[in-house]
Amino acid sequence: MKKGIYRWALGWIGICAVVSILAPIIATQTPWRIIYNNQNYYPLVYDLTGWGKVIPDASLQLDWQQLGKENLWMAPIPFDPTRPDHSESEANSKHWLGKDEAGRDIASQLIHGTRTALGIGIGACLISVFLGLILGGLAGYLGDTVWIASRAQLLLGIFGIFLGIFYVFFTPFLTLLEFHGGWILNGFLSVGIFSIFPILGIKFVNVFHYFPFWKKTIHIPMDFIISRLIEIKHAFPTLFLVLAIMAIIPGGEGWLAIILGITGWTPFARLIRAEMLQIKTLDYMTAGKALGYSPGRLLFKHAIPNALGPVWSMVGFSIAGAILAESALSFIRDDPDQISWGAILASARHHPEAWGLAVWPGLALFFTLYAFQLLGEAARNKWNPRMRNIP
Amino acid sequence: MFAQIRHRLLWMLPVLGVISILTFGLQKLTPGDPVWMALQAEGISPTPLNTRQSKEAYQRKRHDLRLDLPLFYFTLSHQASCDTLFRVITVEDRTWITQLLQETASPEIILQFYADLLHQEEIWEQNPSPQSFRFRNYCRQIRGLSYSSLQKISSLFNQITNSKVLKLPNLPASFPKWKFYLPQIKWEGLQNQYHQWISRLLQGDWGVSWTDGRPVMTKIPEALTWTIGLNTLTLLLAWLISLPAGVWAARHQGSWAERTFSGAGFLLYALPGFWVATLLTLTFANPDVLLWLPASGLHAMDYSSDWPAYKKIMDLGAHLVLPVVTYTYASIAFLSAQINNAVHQELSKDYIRTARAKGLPEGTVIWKHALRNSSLPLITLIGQMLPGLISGSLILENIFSIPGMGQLMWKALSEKDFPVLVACFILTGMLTMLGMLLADLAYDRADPRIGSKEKK
Repeated sequence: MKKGIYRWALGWIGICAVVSILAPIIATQTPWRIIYNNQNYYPLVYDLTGWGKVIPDASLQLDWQQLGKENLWMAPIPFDPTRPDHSESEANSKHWLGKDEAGRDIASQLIHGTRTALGIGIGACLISVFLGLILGGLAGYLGDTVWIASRAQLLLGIFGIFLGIFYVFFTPFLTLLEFHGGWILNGFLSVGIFSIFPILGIKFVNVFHYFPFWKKTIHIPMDFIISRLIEIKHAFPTLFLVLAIMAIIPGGEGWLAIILGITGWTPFARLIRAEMLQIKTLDYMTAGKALGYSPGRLLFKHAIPNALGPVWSMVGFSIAGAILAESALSFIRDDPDQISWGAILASARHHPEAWGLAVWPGLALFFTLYAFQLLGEAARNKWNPRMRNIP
Repeated sequence: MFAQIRHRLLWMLPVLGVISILTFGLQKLTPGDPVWMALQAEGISPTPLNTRQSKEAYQRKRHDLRLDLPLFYFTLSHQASCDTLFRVITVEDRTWITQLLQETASPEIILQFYADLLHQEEIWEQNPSPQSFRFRNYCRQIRGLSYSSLQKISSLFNQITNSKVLKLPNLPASFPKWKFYLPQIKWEGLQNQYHQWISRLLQGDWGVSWTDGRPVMTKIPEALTWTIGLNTLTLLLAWLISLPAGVWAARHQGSWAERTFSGAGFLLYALPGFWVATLLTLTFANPDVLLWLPASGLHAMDYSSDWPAYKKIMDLGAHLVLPVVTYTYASIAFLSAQINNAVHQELSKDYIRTARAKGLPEGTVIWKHALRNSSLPLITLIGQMLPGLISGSLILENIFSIPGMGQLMWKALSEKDFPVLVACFILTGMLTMLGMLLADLAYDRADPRIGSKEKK
């Protein structure tokens, strides 16, 4: 019976994934194909990719219906999620799940909301896993005593971090704070520039090592530092922190995923840290050390891959958490321009008579959360049988 | 024990310091002009700075809020930046000058130009006439233009206004771009915004709310009372229900009743709280369906303070039914599963068999032996629940309009009421860390082995 329910969960997530990928094709006002002056045109293909013939009559873009039903091949849900439909005529194919107060189709909003939810959930989770793996791995593997650096290395490392911050945030030509196009490239470039200076500083210190004072070594308490970081993160109430950051950064779903990812890394970091403390003591790590492998190789090629199992068990819960946070945020912000399950639910509060507004997005959200939590549970039972039966 | 507490408390100080810096940073990065917001709270309407009085009020407020100081103990910038930018009064002018500096990389030229502009405006302001009023209007309109467009219009502008405001020398042929890539660090001393702000906070002056002018330290305790009261009530209720339920499930693990119970619990846990809240209000507080309960708020519309006590309690109780139900259902599902799991693990151990073999009553075996030994994960749970106890629930408090911390913070966030927001962040941070410390101490009490391990 349990197996069956996991299969249902996987199936539901699969359906959601397909729907969210195909959303701009199955729920759109632009027709798939029109017949105009006995010629075939494919407006949707043209809109999405730019291929094909240009639609000759620009006024058609405003109202496709004037072509007549027999000349139009519409999508199954022939409405855009954002465009209100005020027409009362029967010529419109009907709204399956009704309209909201602005006249926008709910089915279309639901489909595009799937895209938002899954995109943000998975994106945020990926970022969380990435950050949690690196920080938790460093904390657990290096501990408070493993990383020994000379005073010169420490000094130059701090100087490098300072330079990195300067070049990323303070020079006017390459800043993360400028949100013009190509921000992904910009981000990668910034991270690269940020990390190159400390690495250079730590690597090339031989000149300093001629002086005995600078050659003296100290332990760098990575575990301590990262544990304090986690503590600081925990001191902020997450949703409020996300809202506060969103007030600074100009909106957009991509940014929401990044913010949720950055605020959600701590559980992963704690998990990996605990795993790493254990893995560190295992024989193959000692063997690797005896073979003279570099700490980087030991960490990234041996320790982290072995700690990945339990991470899988947390991914489902993390995605569910991010989806819940996204819908809760759009619910509370009640922004009519936003296409999200939470936003539809929010409009249900203004219209107690329209029960569909409350039921459909809620059900979609509930099934998705339930499915991801079930998968998380399945993964946890696989990796950690001791924790069975805990939601 | 005390050494450990002292050690932990001492380490809280730097962490709190970092939290204060982060909240300060959030506050400074958020767009919007704090001076205007503070002025609005005092009832001064935000007209543009065209009269002498409004200008002076603005400047005075800016000084009161210590915004005419550098941001932090040191300023990091590039060589082509201007280190006295914080003295420029309005936000618009600051962004304009920053823009001009980025274009020209020559602070001397720009600052000279800006000083000339201000000087000329001052002269026009002192000799009011329709003409000078028009000229001042022109000056407002050229703000935001780039250096090259300023140069283009300069001769025309000077001709019209019969002045020499726009003296814009040609930029040096070799654009000093390298200046952007040389860092410059300047020590500012204690006369900076952060130091002034944090020392006010430490002296107990948390400021007044920018929305209604009430002191922050009277607003927060009011909200905290509601949040802590409601959360304690629901938490107690949840434990009262889920403890026996969890223990029952642990004893009957594997039976169909337990499987149904656990499955239903898992299902309940996945229900998003705000959806349940919406559905409940749409069902039980909806004139079209059932109007059994009030939808939101804490008191009836016709509430008056001279109602008899039983009526007050009935009223409050009716308003609390829906919030308490939405608050508790998920915790019950979660807690009973956790208790089920923790107790079940203990029940299979040898000492339980021994206890049963020597004829202890089943109640004693479960409640005294198994539960005590399974309390460790449960204490961790309580520790994890503490932050939510204090910061309140953003969503649920807003749906049911409960005037707790969640609603207070949401309002402060959406209205950019920073004195309240900052106080909430710092207080919840402090209380959360104290809560985690308490949970750790309880951990030590429950299992003395943990404490001794750390002492070693």
